[in-house]
Amino acid sequence: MSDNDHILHIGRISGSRLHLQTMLDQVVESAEKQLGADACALLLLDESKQTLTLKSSHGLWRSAVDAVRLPRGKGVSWRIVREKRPAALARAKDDPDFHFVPESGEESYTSMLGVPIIEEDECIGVIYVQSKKETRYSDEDISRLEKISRQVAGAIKAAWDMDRIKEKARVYTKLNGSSRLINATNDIEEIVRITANVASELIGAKVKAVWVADIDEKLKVKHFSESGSDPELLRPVCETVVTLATVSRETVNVADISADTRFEGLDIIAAVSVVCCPMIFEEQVVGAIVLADRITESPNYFVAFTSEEIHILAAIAQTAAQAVDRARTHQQLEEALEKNEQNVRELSILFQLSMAMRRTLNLEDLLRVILSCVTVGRGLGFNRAILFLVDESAGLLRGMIGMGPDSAEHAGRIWNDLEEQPPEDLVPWLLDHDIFEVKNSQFNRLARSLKFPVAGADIGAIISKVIGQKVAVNIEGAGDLEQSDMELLSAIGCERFAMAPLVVRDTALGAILVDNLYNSNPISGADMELLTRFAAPAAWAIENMKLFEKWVAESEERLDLEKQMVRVERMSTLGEVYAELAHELKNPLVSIGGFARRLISTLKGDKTSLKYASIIAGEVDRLETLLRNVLDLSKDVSIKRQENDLNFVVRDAVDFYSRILSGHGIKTHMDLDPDIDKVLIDAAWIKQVVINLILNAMEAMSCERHQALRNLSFTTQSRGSGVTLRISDTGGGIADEDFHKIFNPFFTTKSQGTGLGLSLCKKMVQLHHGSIEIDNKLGHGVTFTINLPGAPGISS
Amino acid sequence: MNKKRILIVDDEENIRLLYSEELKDAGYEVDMAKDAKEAQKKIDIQKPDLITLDIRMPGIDGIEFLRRFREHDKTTPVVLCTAYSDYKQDFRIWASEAYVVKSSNLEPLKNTIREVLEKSARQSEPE
Repeated sequence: MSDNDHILHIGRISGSRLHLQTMLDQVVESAEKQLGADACALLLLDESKQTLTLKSSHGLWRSAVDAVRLPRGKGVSWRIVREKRPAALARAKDDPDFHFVPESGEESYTSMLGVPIIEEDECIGVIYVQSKKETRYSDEDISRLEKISRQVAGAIKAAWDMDRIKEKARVYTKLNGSSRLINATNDIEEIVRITANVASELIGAKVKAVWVADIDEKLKVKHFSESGSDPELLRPVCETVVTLATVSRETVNVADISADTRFEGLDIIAAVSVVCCPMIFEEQVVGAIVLADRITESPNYFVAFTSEEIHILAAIAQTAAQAVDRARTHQQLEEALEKNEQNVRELSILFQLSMAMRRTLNLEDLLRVILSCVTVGRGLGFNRAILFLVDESAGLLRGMIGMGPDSAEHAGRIWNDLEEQPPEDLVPWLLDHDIFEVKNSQFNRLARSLKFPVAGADIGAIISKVIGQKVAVNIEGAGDLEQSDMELLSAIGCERFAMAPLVVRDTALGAILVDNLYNSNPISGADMELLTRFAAPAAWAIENMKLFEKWVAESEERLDLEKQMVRVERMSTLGEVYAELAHELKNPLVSIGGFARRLISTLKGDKTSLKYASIIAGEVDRLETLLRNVLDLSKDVSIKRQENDLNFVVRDAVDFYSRILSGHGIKTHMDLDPDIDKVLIDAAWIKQVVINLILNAMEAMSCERHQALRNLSFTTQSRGSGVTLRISDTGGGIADEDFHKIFNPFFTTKSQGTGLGLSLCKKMVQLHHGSIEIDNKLGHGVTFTINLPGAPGISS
Repeated sequence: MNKKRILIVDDEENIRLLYSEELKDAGYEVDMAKDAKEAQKKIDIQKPDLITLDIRMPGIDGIEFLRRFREHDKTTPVVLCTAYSDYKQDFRIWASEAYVVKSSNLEPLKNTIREVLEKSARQSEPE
């Protein structure tokens, strides 16, 4: 075969799409023949450019292929690589750089010719021929081998390109598959796991880690695996690189961290490569993937991650970012749905509570419904609950009602019953069914016996917080309790409970205490939120109910008043009957009394008969007065108001009784305002009022006890737009129990009298649009104050 | 001097008896009528010097009787007697000389009768 034939052969070989190894083997065999050598070998630099590996040979031991690895150094091969020039050695061992490569069978050869394999101005390997006998290689030989080298270089490059394309195809197939895998789940943990696996399958690295941002947007490590000896050694390196990548939002690729100032202070001695790709979706950093300590074929050398690998990692990061974002959106959606469900539940409870408000007519029922909502599973679902209300007057927080099973067995029974008959409309059902048998419940009795101070030195820390600061508390164990809370704790007998204030207009009117004594469920943040939210409308409902009860009480009072009014009306109707009756009674009375008086004047000597006749006359007199008063009170009195001087009216009345008054030892004092305004009054009626008051005073002062001091004083004065008359006596006052009744018709403490006097006085003064007041000083006397309005247009 | 003649008009027999006894004791001549009709008859037979007239009576009441009486007798004094002071504001009683509230104490009535008769006598003297 001619040279050209050989070269064509090699060209054919290298142009054919054979496997790289087959091609190299053929080229080596062909080159040996072309140059008439005894052996031929081809070494290629590995990707780290630190090792020359024997890839093919003809004449050397077969076992040497891939086993002979020449680390960068002084040898002839490396010199060729370095200098990119051929080396023709007639006696190889004469060259100081030459060393036999052990375990290759090289010792049997004497001469050698090596040329670099150059592709795109870069040396990628060495091809050389060897002969047993000493051979001086001609320039022709050299150029021949160089020609072969050039051709093989193109072939190697083509094969490498093919390999690279194949590898890319593999990677993209893998990426595609993993992307589908990653996107098939909404579980972030699962996404992280798949991402880490895919990355380590496609790129060899000892450490693979994935960071993912949580809801608080802080990156947290979700996956960290290391195939090396010390799993935690590279962790700080990864953390640093994650920070660098997520801040810069760019891939950070470091060939050797020990030579990089950004990793100073991490106490890393070894040369380690690291790469980190941030996971960015819609400009949001959702995480980061880190690979560190790239696995190389030459264990003694470290290699940086290639740009190819970084692209792959970026693609994985992109896919993972999307997946994480989608998963997070899904999670948020689920949370929103759950929240919505909770809102619906809340709304339903609140709606039912408001329904209950309309249906319940007393506070006790309302409290029962509120606690039912708190304890029933379809409501807030706490095991037990106590409702407290603040008793302001006593400064105490009092337990009003407790709801909950008395024992675990009781709890089971109740909840079973509830499951069996799920009520459609919860609240009405609760109203009709006393599920916890509150009336007979020990727990309710316990709750109702509870009372705690809400102010002062004895106040417990929890109660101070709940009632004073109006804050809900969740006690998760005895550690949350202070000494001052021990009373509360021992009362309820459960270390984990929660208490929420019932607040209305910034005032705590009570609190709800809940616990899960029987199922020991922890009280979650969501439970607390619901309890607090529920407490607000509950508090208002209680407040409204309190107002309603107050209103009812007031209405009842009003109703009483109305009854009185009706009675008064009836009385005025009756009054007409009385008037009729009185007329009919009057005539017989006049006859009886008249004839009795006649008897008195005729029965001169018979003292006994005289006495009897006097009694008859006296009693008739009393009956006549009674009748007159009844008629005056019952009929519509019309008054004729004329301009009058009150002083004159008072003096007239007092003069009329002056003899009688002095006869009873009563001294009268007149302090009448000489400049008193004129008033429009019916003088006759006002005089009657004054007379009635004089008679009252006289009666009061005539008993034995008041012998020493019997003063009756009259004072008049102008008062703004009217005039005032005060009549004060020293009759000892009116007993408290009688005081409020004195204006009632027929009320009297006197042995003599009709009891109509004061009520008549009141009626008269009221007809004058005036008022009558009493200042009662028990043990001293009574002052009546009569205010009469002034006459419009009349000036003093 | 002739005793003054008083006609007592009252539907109550006991009252008529009481008044007549009292007034006789007080020195009057007394005649009685149980209603307006009888009173008119008595007046027609013999004209009294004074009439005590009860307001509330069955049939024609005192006030109506007074109105009719005054149509043809403007001078004979009439003292209205009533159980209560209801009629004080009734202008129709202005046709009477006096108004007395009935009472078992007959002093106010006797005083009023005396005063009215004295006044009547003074007014008729110049004639």
